[in-house]
Amino acid sequence: MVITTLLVVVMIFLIFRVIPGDPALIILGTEADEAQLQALRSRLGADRPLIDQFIAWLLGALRGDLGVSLRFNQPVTKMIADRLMVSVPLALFSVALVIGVSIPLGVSLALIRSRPVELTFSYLSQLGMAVPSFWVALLLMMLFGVALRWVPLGETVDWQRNPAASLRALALPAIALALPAIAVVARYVRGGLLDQLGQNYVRTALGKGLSFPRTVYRHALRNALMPVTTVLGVIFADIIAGAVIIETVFALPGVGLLLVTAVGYRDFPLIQGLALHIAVVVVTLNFTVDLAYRVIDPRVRLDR
Amino acid sequence: MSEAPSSARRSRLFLGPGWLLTVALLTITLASWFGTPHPPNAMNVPARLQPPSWTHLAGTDEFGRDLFSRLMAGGRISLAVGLGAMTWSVLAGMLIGMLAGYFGGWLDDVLMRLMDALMALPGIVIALLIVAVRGVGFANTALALGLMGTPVIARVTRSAFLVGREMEYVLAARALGASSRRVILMHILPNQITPLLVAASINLAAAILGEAGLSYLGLGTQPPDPSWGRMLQEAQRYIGVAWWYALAPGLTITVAVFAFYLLANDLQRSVSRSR
Repeated sequence: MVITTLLVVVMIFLIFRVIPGDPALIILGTEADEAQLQALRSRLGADRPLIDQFIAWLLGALRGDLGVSLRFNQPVTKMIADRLMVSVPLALFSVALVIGVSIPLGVSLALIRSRPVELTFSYLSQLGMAVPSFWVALLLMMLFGVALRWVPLGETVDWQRNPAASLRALALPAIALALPAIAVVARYVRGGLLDQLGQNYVRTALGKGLSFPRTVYRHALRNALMPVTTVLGVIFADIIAGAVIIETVFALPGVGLLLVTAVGYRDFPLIQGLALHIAVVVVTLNFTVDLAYRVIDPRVRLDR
Repeated sequence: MSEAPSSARRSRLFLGPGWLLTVALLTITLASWFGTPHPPNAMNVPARLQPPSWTHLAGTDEFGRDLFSRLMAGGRISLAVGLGAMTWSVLAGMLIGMLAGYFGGWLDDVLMRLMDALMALPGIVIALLIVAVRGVGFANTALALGLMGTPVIARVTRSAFLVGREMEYVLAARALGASSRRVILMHILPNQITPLLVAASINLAAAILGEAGLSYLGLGTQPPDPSWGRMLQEAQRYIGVAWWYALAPGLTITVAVFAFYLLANDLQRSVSRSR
C-alpha cells in the first residue's frame, strides 16, 4: 500500500513534467511572449531541477500545502476542503443506497429460482452497467423535475445554511451514481448467496430442523456478504469517479466539478492537488476494506 | 495436465446476441459513410426542436438538425475513438502483461506495482489528467482512454501467461530451443487469446462510455464533429421542452456499450463451449 501510494504520487507529479509539452505554453497559449512564459514557469517552479520540484511538492503535500490555484488564487487544500462538504455526503448517500437496495435485491433474486427471472436479471444487470450515469441523471431530472415537479431544477442551495434542502438536492445525483453500482453489487450478492446455499452446512442447518428463512439470514447470507465487502472498495472508487461527471450534470459544487473546472482552465496546481487527493482517498478506502475484511473473516491474512 | 491444441478443441465461435447487436451497430455506423437521411450538420431553423416523426426518426435539435443523422455520424467518431483507445490499451497492456507473466520475478513486481498505482486513480481522473496536459483532440482522447484501460488488460494478460507458461507444450518448445519471443508469440499467446479478446471487448465498451463522458464534459470530441456525449450536453438545456433530444443520444450510447458487453459474453461462451 505504501509503495502504491508513493508510485501514484510520483506518477501524478511526473505526468505534468515528463509528458511532452510546456505547461506554461499550454496555459498561456502560443501568443504569450518569452518573459510571460518565464514568469509563469518560475511561479509553477518549473525552472528548478526536477528532483527539487518533487521534494518541495511532496513535503508541501505532507504538511497539507498543495500550492495555490493559478486561476482562483486560493490555497488548493482549502478549496478541496470546502468542496468536500458536498462530495462526502453525496458519496455516503449513494453508498448507503447501493447497500440498502442491492442486498435485498440480490437476496430476492437468489431465492427466486426461476429461469426467466434469472435471464432477465442477467441482461438487466449488464444493461445497468452499460447505461451512462449522466444520462440516467438527465432522465431522473426529466422525470422528477420536469414531469412530476417533485424536485426543483437549477436551484442553488446554500450548503451551510440549509442542510435539509441540500440533502434533497443530493437525492437525484445519489440515485444516478448508485444505479450502475447496484447492478454490480446485486449480482455479487446473488452469486454469493447461491454459492453458500449449495454448501453442506446449509444442508446440515436445514436437516437439524432450522427454518429456511433463519438458515438463509443467520448462516448463508453472512458468509455470502463477505466477498461483497471487497467489492465495496471498488464501488466506492467508482462512485468517486462517477461523481466527477454527475456533479457537473447537477452543477453540484463538489470535488468532481472542481476537477472538471480546473482541467478547463489548465489550472495545474489545482489539478495536481485534486488528483493526489482522489488517489489518496481511493488507496485509503481499499486499504480500509482489506482491513475490514480481515476483521470479519480471521482466516484471511494480508500478505502484502 | 497438458492441453495440446488439437482441432477437436478448436474454439468454435458462439454467435449470440452480442454479435447481432455489434454487427447491427457497425452496419448503421458504416452506412453513414455513404449518406445519412439528412446532412448531419445542416441547420434548418424552422424545423427546430421537432419531436420524432417519419421525416426525423429521432426528432431535431435546437438548430433543426436531424438527430438520427447526427447520431449516425457521431457513431463514427465514438467508435473510432473507442477502437483507438482499445488499441492503445491492448498493445500497452499486453506487452506489460506478457513481460510480467512470462518472466516473473522482479520485472513482474515492478510492472504490477505500476499497474496498481495506475488503478489507484479512477479512469476518468487519469483521462482528465492526460487531457489537461496534452489538450483536447481525437488522438489525445484515445490516448487518455487507452491509458485508463491498460492496467486491466495487463492483469488479464499476466494471468493468462502465468497459466500458459506452465503448459507442457511450452516446456517442449523451450526444450527444442525456441527463443522467449517465439514461445511468447507463437505458443502461449494463440492458446490464451480468448480471455484477452473478452477483456478487449469490455475495454472497448468502457472506452465508448468514457468518450461519451469526456465529450459530455466538453473535454472530448470537439465541435463541429457530432458526438454522442456532446449531444447529451447540448440536450440538457432543453430537457423541459424536448424530451426526445436527451433520449436518443443516451439510448444510443447505452446500446453501443451494451453491444460490446454482450459481445464479451458471447466470446466467453465460445471458449467454455470448446472445453
